[in-house]
Amino acid sequence: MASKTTRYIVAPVQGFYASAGNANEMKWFANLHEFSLKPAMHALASASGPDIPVKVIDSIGENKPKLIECSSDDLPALRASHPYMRILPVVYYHPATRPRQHIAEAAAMAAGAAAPAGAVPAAAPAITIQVVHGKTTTPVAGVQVVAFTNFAAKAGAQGVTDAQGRVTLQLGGATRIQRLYTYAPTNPGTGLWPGLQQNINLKNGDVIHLLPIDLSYEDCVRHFYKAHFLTQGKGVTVGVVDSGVALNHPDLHVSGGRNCVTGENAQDFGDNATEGHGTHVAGIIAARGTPPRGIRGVAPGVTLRSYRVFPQGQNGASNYDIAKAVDAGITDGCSILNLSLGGPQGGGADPHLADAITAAHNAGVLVFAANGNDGRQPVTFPASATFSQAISALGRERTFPPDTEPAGDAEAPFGTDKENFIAEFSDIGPQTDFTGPGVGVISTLPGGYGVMSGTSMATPAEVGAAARLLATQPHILAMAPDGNRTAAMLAALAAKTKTLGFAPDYEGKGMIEP
Amino acid sequence: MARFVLRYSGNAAPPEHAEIAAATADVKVVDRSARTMLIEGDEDAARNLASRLSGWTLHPEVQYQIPDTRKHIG
Repeated sequence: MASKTTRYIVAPVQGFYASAGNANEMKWFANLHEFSLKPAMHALASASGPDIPVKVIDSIGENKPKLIECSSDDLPALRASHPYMRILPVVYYHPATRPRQHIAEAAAMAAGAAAPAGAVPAAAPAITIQVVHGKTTTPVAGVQVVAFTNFAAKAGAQGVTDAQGRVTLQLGGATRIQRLYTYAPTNPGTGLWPGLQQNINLKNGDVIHLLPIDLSYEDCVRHFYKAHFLTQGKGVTVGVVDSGVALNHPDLHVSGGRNCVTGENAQDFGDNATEGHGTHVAGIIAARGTPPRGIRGVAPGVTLRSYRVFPQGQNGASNYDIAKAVDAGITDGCSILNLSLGGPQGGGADPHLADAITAAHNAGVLVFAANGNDGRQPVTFPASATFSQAISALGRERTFPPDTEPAGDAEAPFGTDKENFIAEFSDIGPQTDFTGPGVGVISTLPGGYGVMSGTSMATPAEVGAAARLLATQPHILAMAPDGNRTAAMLAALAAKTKTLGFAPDYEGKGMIEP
Repeated sequence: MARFVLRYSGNAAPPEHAEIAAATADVKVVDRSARTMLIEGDEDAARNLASRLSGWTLHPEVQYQIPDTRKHIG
């Protein structure tokens, strides 16, 4: 079913004027200018499907921005097929009058309302439980336990297990638990699935068993992207812009990198002693182990580089440091950069990082970024940047064991294959370019292995798929490092991307099939 | 004290760092590259500096997080 048409601004890749030094861009803008003189629907060629109907409503000049009208469903295909432009929203401004006063009815009612169902009264009895290894029954310390008495209201109690695996939850006398999450520590990796038990009665002395990970288990990444040969992805250099990568993990080979955190040692691009996030991301792309003794990524043959932007022991990365990492990735010859990070909802524009991503685009480097995990909220920056490839997260039933955390992420919409779903946590929107498997992903962690979920995991899955595909296109990789190479890479990806039956806001063009 | 990114967006080659060093007396230069400086100081001092340097733009430093999917109470 066709959606209604919307107006967009088409602007050159950089600035207001098409670049005189880029013949393809000049020709493209001149063609659109011609179309504006005859304002009817024109069929623009698609790299991977039927022609795209577009009306050019106005043109500021031959080499200047245009106003177009097309279906929002066609945006991903239009972006992928015609990379010599930016597609920008039309923004409308209103008089800056003072808003009228109004009664805050909802707030006033809430202030006097009773506590939500499931809320915990103060000074009530507590419940102590123990968390143990599912096979050895040894206590597991450092497990974050979150017990929801009312999941919708986010009410309940939480704590962290001690050396005996015990945690005391202040549940105020409540025993009925809607959801009990148990998150094993990830640095070092414990090799345990995060648990989820639903609608249970909890009592003092209960023991929760965490399931050990079988490294030969077919999770959602291995379901879609099992790598059979260690050479898959060879010839492509991928940079992971993240919390660093554990340099001594037996499944990983990091060829180099840089610590881009201002004030820290530039050579310290290993793990930053937080959650092991960068090591997990790197393993999804490039792990070289063989199950059941190790894990294998989507493209184990790539040349892997680590660009650390999260300071030692901290989880906040500066746009200055990230831009420095993007620039370093360009200088070091990366073809793809992975940014599994994001700003807050409504965080606004960040011109500095946006410029760095544009520079990467113009230097023949693809930047993949995570949509964000706010639960169907708009795509966050930098995934929302014009030249980022924005990735949503997909899950698949029966690619995680029962009573594990991923079971809580399955939610409509479901795809053409009803076992596929867009993860409950995934942010969505018109900037989405691809979707990737990101629910219950097994990968490397400092000192071991673990399971994580997120658009952070979906992004490296698609980076690995893109690397695997581009490795089969050496003539594209050999092109001069400029916007034409980026355009050729995107066209190659578009030709091998297939819809899974979700709306474009959820999956973009779909999933890359290398 | 806050940190700001000062970025040269002019078309010509950016001026030598030594050339602009004198202008940065009221702020601390934390890091620098060919076209960018990370500075620390009062916002007024940073804006004053940017206004005196032709072709340079000023943006606040922004922090990005690892997107988390863990559930929390409250």
